[in-house]
Amino acid sequence: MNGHPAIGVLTVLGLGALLAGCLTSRVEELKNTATGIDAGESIVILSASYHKGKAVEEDFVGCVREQLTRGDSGLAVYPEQQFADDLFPWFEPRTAPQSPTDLPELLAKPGVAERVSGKGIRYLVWLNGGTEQTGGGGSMSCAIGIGVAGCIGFGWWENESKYDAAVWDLRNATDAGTVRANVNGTSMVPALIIPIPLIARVKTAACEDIAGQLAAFIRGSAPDG
Amino acid sequence: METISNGDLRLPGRRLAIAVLLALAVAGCGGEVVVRQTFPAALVQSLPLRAGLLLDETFVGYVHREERKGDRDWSIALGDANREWIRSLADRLFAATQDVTSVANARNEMPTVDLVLQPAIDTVEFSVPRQSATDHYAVWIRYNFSVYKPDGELVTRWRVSAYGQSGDEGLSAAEALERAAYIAMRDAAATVATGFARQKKIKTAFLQSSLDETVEQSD
Repeated sequence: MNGHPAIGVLTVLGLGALLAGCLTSRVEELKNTATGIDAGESIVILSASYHKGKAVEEDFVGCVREQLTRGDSGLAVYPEQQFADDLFPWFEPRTAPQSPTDLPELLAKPGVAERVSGKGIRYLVWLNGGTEQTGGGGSMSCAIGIGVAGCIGFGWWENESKYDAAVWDLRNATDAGTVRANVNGTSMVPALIIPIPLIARVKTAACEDIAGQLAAFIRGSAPDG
Repeated sequence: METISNGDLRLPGRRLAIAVLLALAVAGCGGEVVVRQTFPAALVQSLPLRAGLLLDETFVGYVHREERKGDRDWSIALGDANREWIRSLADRLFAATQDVTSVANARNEMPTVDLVLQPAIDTVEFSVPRQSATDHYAVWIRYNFSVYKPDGELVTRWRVSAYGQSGDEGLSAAEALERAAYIAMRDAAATVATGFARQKKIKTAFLQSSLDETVEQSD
Protein backbone atom coordinates (compact mmCIF):
# COMPACT_ATOMS: atom_id res chain seq x y z
CA MET A 1 0.00 0.00 0.00
CA ASN A 2 1.24 3.49 -0.74
CA GLY A 3 -0.43 4.89 2.32
CA HIS A 4 -3.60 6.16 0.70
CA PRO A 5 -6.42 5.34 3.14
CA ALA A 6 -8.91 4.52 0.38
CA ILE A 7 -6.67 1.76 -0.97
CA GLY A 8 -6.40 0.26 2.49
CA VAL A 9 -10.16 0.27 2.91
CA LEU A 10 -10.72 -1.26 -0.52
CA THR A 11 -8.17 -3.97 0.21
CA VAL A 12 -9.91 -4.85 3.46
CA LEU A 13 -13.31 -4.85 1.74
CA GLY A 14 -12.02 -7.12 -1.02
CA LEU A 15 -10.51 -9.54 1.47
CA GLY A 16 -13.69 -9.42 3.49
CA ALA A 17 -15.85 -10.19 0.49
CA LEU A 18 -13.77 -13.29 -0.05
CA LEU A 19 -13.72 -14.32 3.60
CA ALA A 20 -17.39 -13.58 4.31
CA GLY A 21 -18.22 -16.51 2.07
CA CYS A 22 -16.34 -18.85 4.39
CA LEU A 23 -19.28 -20.96 5.54
CA THR A 24 -19.02 -24.69 5.64
CA SER A 25 -22.29 -26.52 5.43
CA ARG A 26 -23.29 -30.13 5.72
CA VAL A 27 -26.80 -31.48 5.18
CA GLU A 28 -27.77 -35.06 5.89
CA GLU A 29 -30.95 -37.01 5.38
CA LEU A 30 -32.05 -40.25 6.93
CA LYS A 31 -35.18 -41.62 5.32
CA ASN A 32 -37.07 -44.49 6.87
CA THR A 33 -40.18 -44.65 4.70
CA ALA A 34 -41.42 -43.38 1.36
CA THR A 35 -42.86 -39.91 1.58
CA GLY A 36 -45.10 -37.67 -0.49
CA ILE A 37 -47.77 -35.10 0.10
CA ASP A 38 -51.10 -34.71 -1.67
CA ALA A 39 -52.86 -31.52 -2.64
CA GLY A 40 -54.84 -30.29 0.35
CA GLU A 41 -52.45 -31.86 2.85
CA SER A 42 -50.26 -29.78 5.14
CA ILE A 43 -47.43 -30.10 7.61
CA VAL A 44 -46.97 -28.69 11.10
CA ILE A 45 -43.62 -27.40 12.29
CA LEU A 46 -43.13 -27.76 16.03
CA SER A 47 -40.15 -26.77 18.12
CA ALA A 48 -38.92 -29.41 20.51
CA SER A 49 -40.36 -28.79 23.95
CA TYR A 50 -38.31 -27.18 26.70
CA HIS A 51 -39.12 -30.31 28.68
CA LYS A 52 -36.64 -32.07 26.38
CA GLY A 53 -33.93 -29.44 26.79
CA LYS A 54 -33.37 -26.07 25.22
CA ALA A 55 -36.19 -25.05 22.90
CA VAL A 56 -35.31 -24.02 19.35
CA GLU A 57 -35.17 -20.26 18.78
CA GLU A 58 -38.50 -18.90 17.59
CA ASP A 59 -36.86 -16.93 14.80
CA PHE A 60 -35.38 -20.14 13.42
CA VAL A 61 -38.76 -21.87 13.41
CA GLY A 62 -40.23 -18.83 11.66
CA CYS A 63 -37.44 -18.83 9.10
CA VAL A 64 -37.95 -22.53 8.25
CA ARG A 65 -41.70 -21.97 7.96
CA GLU A 66 -41.20 -19.04 5.64
CA GLN A 67 -38.74 -20.95 3.46
CA LEU A 68 -41.07 -23.93 3.16
CA THR A 69 -44.10 -21.88 2.19
CA ARG A 70 -42.23 -19.61 -0.24
CA GLY A 71 -43.26 -19.59 -3.86
CA ASP A 72 -46.11 -21.09 -5.82
CA SER A 73 -44.92 -24.61 -5.12
CA GLY A 74 -44.39 -24.05 -1.41
CA LEU A 75 -45.73 -26.53 1.11
CA ALA A 76 -48.85 -25.77 3.12
CA VAL A 77 -47.77 -25.23 6.73
CA TYR A 78 -50.47 -25.42 9.39
CA PRO A 79 -49.96 -22.82 12.14
CA GLU A 80 -48.27 -24.31 15.21
CA GLN A 81 -50.44 -22.56 17.80
CA GLN A 82 -53.64 -23.43 15.95
CA PHE A 83 -52.50 -27.06 15.88
CA ALA A 84 -51.81 -27.07 19.64
CA ASP A 85 -55.25 -25.54 20.24
CA ASP A 86 -57.02 -27.98 17.94
CA LEU A 87 -55.36 -30.96 19.61
CA PHE A 88 -55.39 -29.60 23.17
CA PRO A 89 -54.27 -31.08 25.58
CA TRP A 90 -52.17 -33.55 23.60
CA PHE A 91 -49.45 -31.24 22.24
CA GLU A 92 -48.62 -29.17 25.30
CA PRO A 93 -44.95 -29.23 26.39
CA ARG A 94 -45.70 -31.79 29.11
CA THR A 95 -48.03 -34.04 27.14
CA ALA A 96 -46.66 -33.96 23.59
CA PRO A 97 -45.48 -37.33 22.24
CA GLN A 98 -41.81 -37.90 22.94
CA SER A 99 -41.08 -40.24 20.07
CA PRO A 100 -42.79 -41.64 16.99
CA THR A 101 -43.52 -44.81 18.93
CA ASP A 102 -46.03 -42.76 20.94
CA LEU A 103 -48.03 -41.92 17.80
CA PRO A 104 -50.27 -45.00 17.60
CA GLU A 105 -51.39 -44.50 21.22
CA LEU A 106 -51.97 -40.80 20.66
CA LEU A 107 -53.93 -41.30 17.46
CA ALA A 108 -56.07 -43.92 19.19
CA LYS A 109 -57.36 -41.40 21.70
CA PRO A 110 -60.96 -40.34 21.13
CA GLY A 111 -61.24 -37.73 18.43
CA VAL A 112 -57.51 -37.22 17.82
CA ALA A 113 -57.09 -39.08 14.51
CA GLU A 114 -60.34 -37.60 13.22
CA ARG A 115 -59.22 -34.07 14.12
CA VAL A 116 -55.81 -34.56 12.46
CA SER A 117 -57.24 -35.99 9.25
CA GLY A 118 -60.06 -33.44 9.24
CA LYS A 119 -57.48 -30.64 9.21
CA GLY A 120 -55.53 -32.36 6.45
CA ILE A 121 -52.34 -32.54 8.50
CA ARG A 122 -50.03 -35.19 7.10
CA TYR A 123 -46.63 -34.61 8.72
CA LEU A 124 -45.28 -33.34 12.01
CA VAL A 125 -41.85 -31.77 11.74
CA TRP A 126 -40.02 -31.45 15.07
CA LEU A 127 -37.20 -28.94 14.99
CA ASN A 128 -34.35 -29.33 17.41
CA GLY A 129 -30.94 -27.71 17.84
CA GLY A 130 -29.33 -24.32 18.21
CA THR A 131 -26.56 -21.93 17.31
CA GLU A 132 -23.51 -21.45 19.51
CA GLN A 133 -20.29 -19.53 19.42
CA THR A 134 -17.45 -22.03 19.31
CA GLY A 135 -14.42 -19.78 19.24
CA GLY A 136 -13.10 -16.30 18.82
CA GLY A 137 -10.11 -14.03 19.24
CA GLY A 138 -8.15 -11.06 17.94
CA SER A 139 -7.71 -7.58 19.25
CA MET A 140 -8.55 -4.07 18.16
CA SER A 141 -7.47 -0.63 19.34
CA CYS A 142 -9.35 2.56 18.71
CA ALA A 143 -8.30 6.15 19.33
CA ILE A 144 -9.96 9.51 19.12
CA GLY A 145 -8.09 12.79 18.68
CA ILE A 146 -9.00 16.31 17.66
CA GLY A 147 -10.50 15.93 14.23
CA VAL A 148 -9.43 12.30 13.79
CA ALA A 149 -10.63 8.90 14.97
CA GLY A 150 -9.78 5.42 13.90
CA CYS A 151 -9.28 1.77 14.82
CA ILE A 152 -6.72 -0.81 13.93
CA GLY A 153 -6.76 -4.52 14.55
CA PHE A 154 -8.72 -7.64 13.81
CA GLY A 155 -11.40 -9.53 15.73
CA TRP A 156 -13.07 -12.81 14.81
CA TRP A 157 -15.47 -15.37 16.17
CA GLU A 158 -16.78 -18.69 14.95
CA ASN A 159 -20.39 -19.86 15.18
CA GLU A 160 -21.86 -23.28 14.66
CA SER A 161 -25.50 -23.98 13.83
CA LYS A 162 -26.67 -27.57 14.34
CA TYR A 163 -30.32 -28.35 13.72
CA ASP A 164 -32.31 -31.42 12.91
CA ALA A 165 -35.87 -31.91 11.75
CA ALA A 166 -37.59 -35.18 12.63
CA VAL A 167 -40.48 -35.95 10.30
CA TRP A 168 -43.38 -38.01 11.61
CA ASP A 169 -46.00 -39.29 9.23
CA LEU A 170 -49.39 -38.89 10.92
CA ARG A 171 -51.31 -40.84 8.27
CA ASN A 172 -49.24 -43.96 8.83
CA ALA A 173 -48.17 -43.21 12.42
CA THR A 174 -44.52 -43.73 11.53
CA ASP A 175 -41.14 -42.07 11.76
CA ALA A 176 -40.54 -40.93 8.18
CA GLY A 177 -36.97 -39.84 8.85
CA THR A 178 -34.71 -36.95 9.81
CA VAL A 179 -32.98 -34.08 8.06
CA ARG A 180 -29.91 -32.51 9.64
CA ALA A 181 -28.02 -29.33 8.86
CA ASN A 182 -24.68 -28.35 10.31
CA VAL A 183 -23.19 -24.98 9.36
CA ASN A 184 -19.95 -23.44 10.62
CA GLY A 185 -18.89 -19.92 9.85
CA THR A 186 -16.36 -17.36 10.90
CA SER A 187 -17.33 -13.74 11.37
CA MET A 188 -14.65 -11.06 11.53
CA VAL A 189 -14.13 -7.39 12.04
CA PRO A 190 -10.98 -6.12 10.33
CA ALA A 191 -10.22 -2.52 11.17
CA LEU A 192 -7.89 -0.23 9.29
CA ILE A 193 -9.18 3.16 10.39
CA ILE A 194 -12.79 1.99 10.01
CA PRO A 195 -13.95 -1.35 11.49
CA ILE A 196 -15.80 -3.39 8.90
CA PRO A 197 -17.96 -6.20 10.35
CA LEU A 198 -18.15 -9.23 8.06
CA ILE A 199 -20.80 -11.47 9.53
CA ALA A 200 -21.15 -15.13 8.62
CA ARG A 201 -24.89 -15.78 8.79
CA VAL A 202 -24.69 -19.37 9.93
CA LYS A 203 -28.21 -19.59 11.33
CA THR A 204 -29.76 -18.26 8.13
CA ALA A 205 -27.67 -20.69 6.11
CA ALA A 206 -28.77 -23.57 8.34
CA CYS A 207 -32.39 -22.49 7.97
CA GLU A 208 -32.16 -22.39 4.19
CA ASP A 209 -30.31 -25.70 4.07
CA ILE A 210 -32.70 -27.58 6.32
CA ALA A 211 -35.80 -26.09 4.69
CA GLY A 212 -34.61 -26.94 1.18
CA GLN A 213 -33.80 -30.50 2.15
CA LEU A 214 -37.00 -30.84 4.14
CA ALA A 215 -39.17 -29.76 1.21
CA ALA A 216 -37.53 -32.34 -1.03
CA PHE A 217 -37.78 -34.98 1.70
CA ILE A 218 -41.50 -34.45 2.21
CA ARG A 219 -42.35 -34.29 -1.46
CA GLY A 220 -40.46 -37.51 -1.93
CA SER A 221 -38.31 -36.05 -4.68
CA ALA A 222 -34.53 -35.91 -4.87
CA PRO A 223 -32.98 -32.90 -3.17
CA ASP A 224 -32.04 -29.98 -5.38
CA GLY A 225 -28.40 -29.56 -6.28
CA MET B 1 -41.22 30.25 47.88
CA GLU B 2 -37.48 29.73 47.59
CA THR B 3 -35.95 30.56 44.24
CA ILE B 4 -32.65 29.53 42.78
CA SER B 5 -30.65 32.37 41.44
CA ASN B 6 -29.35 30.67 38.32
CA GLY B 7 -32.89 30.49 37.05
CA ASP B 8 -32.97 26.72 36.45
CA LEU B 9 -35.77 26.11 38.91
CA ARG B 10 -37.09 29.56 39.41
CA LEU B 11 -40.74 28.85 38.84
CA PRO B 12 -42.72 26.82 41.40
CA GLY B 13 -44.73 25.38 38.51
CA ARG B 14 -41.62 23.89 37.01
CA ARG B 15 -40.78 22.15 40.30
CA LEU B 16 -44.26 20.77 40.41
CA ALA B 17 -43.95 19.48 36.89
CA ILE B 18 -40.66 17.75 37.72
CA ALA B 19 -42.21 16.21 40.85
CA VAL B 20 -45.13 14.92 38.78
CA LEU B 21 -42.79 13.47 36.17
CA LEU B 22 -40.73 11.78 38.88
CA ALA B 23 -43.85 10.35 40.44
CA LEU B 24 -45.00 9.05 37.07
CA ALA B 25 -41.58 7.53 36.46
CA VAL B 26 -41.67 5.72 39.80
CA ALA B 27 -45.23 4.54 39.14
CA GLY B 28 -44.10 3.32 35.72
CA CYS B 29 -41.60 0.98 37.39
CA GLY B 30 -44.44 -1.39 38.26
CA GLY B 31 -45.28 -4.25 35.89
CA GLU B 32 -48.93 -5.20 35.60
CA VAL B 33 -49.88 -8.41 33.86
CA VAL B 34 -53.37 -9.68 33.16
CA VAL B 35 -53.36 -13.21 31.81
CA ARG B 36 -55.47 -13.74 28.71
CA GLN B 37 -58.71 -15.66 29.13
CA THR B 38 -59.11 -17.74 25.99
CA PHE B 39 -58.41 -21.43 26.36
CA PRO B 40 -58.97 -24.13 23.76
CA ALA B 41 -61.66 -26.75 24.22
CA ALA B 42 -60.11 -29.99 25.40
CA LEU B 43 -60.24 -32.93 23.04
CA VAL B 44 -61.06 -35.54 25.69
CA GLN B 45 -63.84 -38.00 26.28
CA SER B 46 -66.25 -36.87 28.97
CA LEU B 47 -66.29 -38.80 32.22
CA PRO B 48 -69.71 -40.07 33.31
CA LEU B 49 -69.79 -37.59 36.18
CA ARG B 50 -71.75 -34.43 36.97
CA ALA B 51 -69.53 -31.90 38.69
CA GLY B 52 -70.31 -28.91 40.84
CA LEU B 53 -67.64 -26.23 40.49
CA LEU B 54 -66.82 -24.31 43.62
CA LEU B 55 -64.96 -21.26 42.35
CA ASP B 56 -64.47 -19.02 45.34
CA GLU B 57 -63.29 -15.42 45.31
CA THR B 58 -59.72 -16.27 46.28
CA PHE B 59 -59.47 -18.34 43.10
CA VAL B 60 -61.29 -16.16 40.57
CA GLY B 61 -59.85 -12.96 42.00
CA TYR B 62 -56.30 -14.18 42.46
CA VAL B 63 -53.62 -11.56 41.93
CA HIS B 64 -49.96 -12.36 42.57
CA ARG B 65 -48.05 -9.31 43.77
CA GLU B 66 -44.34 -9.28 44.33
CA GLU B 67 -41.83 -6.58 45.16
CA ARG B 68 -38.36 -7.29 43.90
CA LYS B 69 -35.13 -5.57 44.79
CA GLY B 70 -33.37 -4.32 41.71
CA ASP B 71 -36.40 -5.00 39.55
CA ARG B 72 -39.82 -3.49 39.11
CA ASP B 73 -42.72 -4.52 41.33
CA TRP B 74 -44.96 -7.01 39.62
CA SER B 75 -48.67 -7.70 39.73
CA ILE B 76 -49.95 -10.75 37.84
CA ALA B 77 -53.73 -11.11 37.68
CA LEU B 78 -54.53 -14.80 37.31
CA GLY B 79 -58.11 -14.90 38.58
CA ASP B 80 -60.18 -14.33 35.44
CA ALA B 81 -58.00 -16.69 33.45
CA ASN B 82 -58.33 -19.26 36.26
CA ARG B 83 -62.10 -19.17 35.98
CA GLU B 84 -62.05 -19.49 32.20
CA TRP B 85 -59.69 -22.42 31.92
CA ILE B 86 -61.35 -24.45 34.67
CA ARG B 87 -64.82 -23.87 33.20
CA SER B 88 -63.65 -24.59 29.68
CA LEU B 89 -62.00 -27.82 30.80
CA ALA B 90 -64.82 -28.94 33.08
CA ASP B 91 -67.35 -28.51 30.26
CA ARG B 92 -65.44 -31.13 28.27
CA LEU B 93 -64.19 -33.36 31.08
CA PHE B 94 -67.53 -33.94 32.81
CA ALA B 95 -70.94 -34.95 31.55
CA ALA B 96 -72.45 -31.86 33.19
CA THR B 97 -71.17 -28.95 35.27
CA GLN B 98 -72.68 -26.19 37.32
CA ASP B 99 -71.31 -23.55 39.67
CA VAL B 100 -72.11 -24.16 43.33
CA THR B 101 -71.72 -21.75 46.22
CA SER B 102 -70.44 -24.25 48.79
CA VAL B 103 -69.93 -27.95 49.32
CA ALA B 104 -72.84 -27.98 51.77
CA ASN B 105 -75.18 -26.37 49.24
CA ALA B 106 -74.09 -28.44 46.27
CA ARG B 107 -76.91 -30.98 46.44
CA ASN B 108 -79.55 -28.26 46.70
CA GLU B 109 -78.10 -26.29 43.82
CA MET B 110 -77.36 -29.27 41.59
CA PRO B 111 -79.52 -32.25 42.60
CA THR B 112 -77.73 -34.66 40.24
CA VAL B 113 -74.24 -33.71 41.41
CA ASP B 114 -71.72 -36.58 41.68
CA LEU B 115 -68.75 -34.57 42.96
CA VAL B 116 -67.70 -31.07 43.90
CA LEU B 117 -64.44 -29.73 42.52
CA GLN B 118 -62.82 -26.83 44.31
CA PRO B 119 -59.64 -25.47 42.72
CA ALA B 120 -57.25 -23.22 44.60
CA ILE B 121 -53.87 -21.66 43.97
CA ASP B 122 -51.29 -22.67 46.53
CA THR B 123 -48.25 -20.74 45.34
CA VAL B 124 -47.07 -18.70 42.37
CA GLU B 125 -43.43 -18.04 41.53
CA PHE B 126 -41.76 -16.51 38.55
CA SER B 127 -38.32 -15.67 37.25
CA VAL B 128 -37.05 -13.09 34.82
CA PRO B 129 -33.93 -13.41 32.62
CA ARG B 130 -31.76 -11.20 34.81
CA GLN B 131 -32.56 -13.39 37.79
CA SER B 132 -32.25 -16.79 36.13
CA ALA B 133 -29.33 -15.94 33.83
CA THR B 134 -31.28 -17.40 30.93
CA ASP B 135 -33.04 -15.78 28.02
CA HIS B 136 -36.55 -16.66 29.14
CA TYR B 137 -39.27 -15.77 31.61
CA ALA B 138 -40.72 -18.62 33.67
CA VAL B 139 -43.83 -19.02 35.80
CA TRP B 140 -44.66 -21.80 38.26
CA ILE B 141 -48.16 -22.20 39.64
CA ARG B 142 -49.07 -24.82 42.19
CA TYR B 143 -52.76 -25.66 42.30
CA ASN B 144 -54.68 -27.71 44.80
CA PHE B 145 -57.81 -29.44 43.56
CA SER B 146 -60.10 -30.51 46.37
CA VAL B 147 -62.61 -33.14 45.33
CA TYR B 148 -65.64 -33.74 47.55
CA LYS B 149 -68.49 -36.19 47.58
CA PRO B 150 -71.94 -34.54 47.56
CA ASP B 151 -72.26 -35.32 51.28
CA GLY B 152 -69.23 -33.12 51.98
CA GLU B 153 -66.63 -35.84 52.46
CA LEU B 154 -63.22 -34.79 51.14
CA VAL B 155 -62.04 -37.50 48.74
CA THR B 156 -58.69 -36.03 47.83
CA ARG B 157 -56.69 -32.85 47.61
CA TRP B 158 -54.78 -33.23 44.37
CA ARG B 159 -51.70 -31.04 43.98
CA VAL B 160 -50.86 -30.02 40.42
CA SER B 161 -47.65 -28.16 39.62
CA ALA B 162 -47.71 -26.21 36.39
CA TYR B 163 -44.89 -24.55 34.53
CA GLY B 164 -44.67 -22.17 31.61
CA GLN B 165 -41.82 -20.35 29.99
CA SER B 166 -41.48 -17.78 27.28
CA GLY B 167 -38.64 -16.20 25.39
CA ASP B 168 -38.53 -12.45 25.13
CA GLU B 169 -38.13 -12.26 21.35
CA GLY B 170 -40.15 -9.27 20.25
CA LEU B 171 -42.02 -9.08 23.56
CA SER B 172 -41.92 -6.64 26.44
CA ALA B 173 -41.18 -8.05 29.90
CA ALA B 174 -44.87 -7.89 30.81
CA GLU B 175 -45.91 -9.61 27.58
CA ALA B 176 -43.34 -12.37 28.05
CA LEU B 177 -44.44 -12.92 31.64
CA GLU B 178 -48.10 -13.02 30.59
CA ARG B 179 -47.25 -15.61 27.97
CA ALA B 180 -45.33 -17.73 30.47
CA ALA B 181 -48.25 -17.57 32.93
CA TYR B 182 -50.73 -18.48 30.18
CA ILE B 183 -48.60 -21.48 29.17
CA ALA B 184 -48.42 -22.53 32.83
CA MET B 185 -52.23 -22.44 33.02
CA ARG B 186 -52.49 -24.53 29.88
CA ASP B 187 -50.02 -26.93 31.50
CA ALA B 188 -52.28 -27.19 34.54
CA ALA B 189 -55.34 -27.73 32.34
CA ALA B 190 -53.53 -30.42 30.37
CA THR B 191 -52.47 -32.18 33.56
CA VAL B 192 -56.02 -32.18 34.91
CA ALA B 193 -57.50 -33.23 31.57
CA THR B 194 -55.19 -36.19 31.18
CA GLY B 195 -54.79 -37.11 34.84
CA PHE B 196 -58.07 -36.60 36.63
CA ALA B 197 -59.48 -40.04 35.95
CA ARG B 198 -56.15 -41.64 36.83
CA GLN B 199 -56.10 -40.35 40.39
CA LYS B 200 -56.49 -43.44 42.54
CA LYS B 201 -58.84 -41.91 45.10
CA ILE B 202 -60.99 -40.34 42.41
CA LYS B 203 -61.20 -43.61 40.53
CA THR B 204 -62.16 -45.49 43.65
CA ALA B 205 -64.74 -42.96 44.81
CA PHE B 206 -66.44 -42.04 41.56
CA LEU B 207 -65.45 -44.28 38.71
CA GLN B 208 -65.43 -47.73 40.26
CA SER B 209 -68.52 -48.95 38.44
CA SER B 210 -67.22 -47.95 35.03
CA LEU B 211 -63.53 -47.99 35.91
CA ASP B 212 -62.16 -50.27 33.23
CA GLU B 213 -64.16 -48.79 30.42
CA THR B 214 -63.64 -45.13 31.28
CA VAL B 215 -59.96 -45.21 32.17
CA GLU B 216 -59.03 -47.20 29.07
CA GLN B 217 -60.86 -44.74 26.87
CA SER B 218 -59.30 -41.68 28.47
CA ASP B 219 -55.73 -43.06 28.56
